[in-house]
Amino acid sequence: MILALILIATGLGLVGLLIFLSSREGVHCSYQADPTLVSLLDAGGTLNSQRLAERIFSKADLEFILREAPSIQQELLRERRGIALYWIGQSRNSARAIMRFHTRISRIQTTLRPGLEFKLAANYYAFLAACLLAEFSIWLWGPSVSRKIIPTLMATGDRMRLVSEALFGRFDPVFQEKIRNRQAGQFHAK
Amino acid sequence: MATYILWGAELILCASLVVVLAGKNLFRKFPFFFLYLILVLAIGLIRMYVYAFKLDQYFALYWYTQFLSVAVGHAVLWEIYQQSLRDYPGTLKIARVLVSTLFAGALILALVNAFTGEASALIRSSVAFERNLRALQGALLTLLLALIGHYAIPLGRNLWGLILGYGFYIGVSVVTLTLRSYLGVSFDVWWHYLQLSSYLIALSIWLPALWVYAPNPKPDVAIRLEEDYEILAERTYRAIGKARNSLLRLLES
Repeated sequence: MILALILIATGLGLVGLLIFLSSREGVHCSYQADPTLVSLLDAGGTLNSQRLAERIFSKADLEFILREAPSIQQELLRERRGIALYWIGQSRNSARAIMRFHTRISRIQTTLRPGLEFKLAANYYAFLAACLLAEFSIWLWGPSVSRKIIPTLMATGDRMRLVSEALFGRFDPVFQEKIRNRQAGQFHAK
Repeated sequence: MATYILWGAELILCASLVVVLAGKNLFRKFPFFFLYLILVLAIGLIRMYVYAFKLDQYFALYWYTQFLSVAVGHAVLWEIYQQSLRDYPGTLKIARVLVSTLFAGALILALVNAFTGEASALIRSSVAFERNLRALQGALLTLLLALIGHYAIPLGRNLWGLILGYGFYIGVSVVTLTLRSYLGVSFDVWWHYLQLSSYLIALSIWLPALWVYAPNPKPDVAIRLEEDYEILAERTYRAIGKARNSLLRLLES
């Protein structure tokens, strides 16, 4: 019976994966629009928002409101929750952009080490799961209660920023310029 | 009557696809897939004839021809792997490791079954044997799709259509064969129609996808970081690894 369940899960999983990949843009299109590399240029800004995060998750404003105007406490908590969720979404997108950049380089490297790639992928997906957990925690209890999880995410953001800087430090300046031009072109096109 | 309608539609679509591939020289791009389609078309015609005029011989013929089709299906899978990862040597390297591990696992499982005497039971049951072969194909295709998703490998319309149609057919086959082998003959009618319908859907996906030649996009940038790969990977790994460890500590505390 267990074998039957495993096999049915394999079949349904395959069909599900096909539907998921079909719904994603870019599986069967070219590189003309390259949002990954463009968003990577913005990643530094997003990941560098430690002060912003500290403010979003701090209890100071909540304590002030409780003291001065308790009637708007619920409004503050609701807005904080929205901002906190947005901040985590941004951090996750930046991490995703860096990882995509890494895979874009590694997929054409003949010197690639499969063991290292497996470890990297496992850690990356664990980080995405952590983001999901934090989002769930904020949605359930609000940002003030969830701040135990947030320092970890902030530390990850810092590390991602370091990686981003290291990558761009090593990057071919001509190619870097090409990306910036492409980004500028996209802005003009809009 | 419904069987003949589905069968007829399947044969017409299959023949149309063969004509399209031949007419647009796409059989040179996908030789194993072309061979597979010709085989399916020939098998379909023979089966239809035997089903109509020599029904007593139909089931024996069905299983012999089905295994032939599954065997050529493995060649189609090899072609899909080769075409998808041709321009990506890094991903190809990972695929080799994963596929070797999968085959080693399947071999160990088969040996264990042989020593415990379960292999004979599997061979006795044609349904279970085909189910196992299809499940292996399903696992191989899932592996490829995971790599395509993770490494954001762009595919041309032709190849993506081929994967979509074949993947859908394999996925449905694994589920229906599993249900058939566990529920027995009571599921036979459903199994028969589901198999025919899923193949008809696969053909309906292949025909428009292969109507016009659309090659895979080539990587447009040649990033020369050969000597820096290890440093890059180590740094990315360290960054994500530390984050993961600190989160684990947090969750454990």
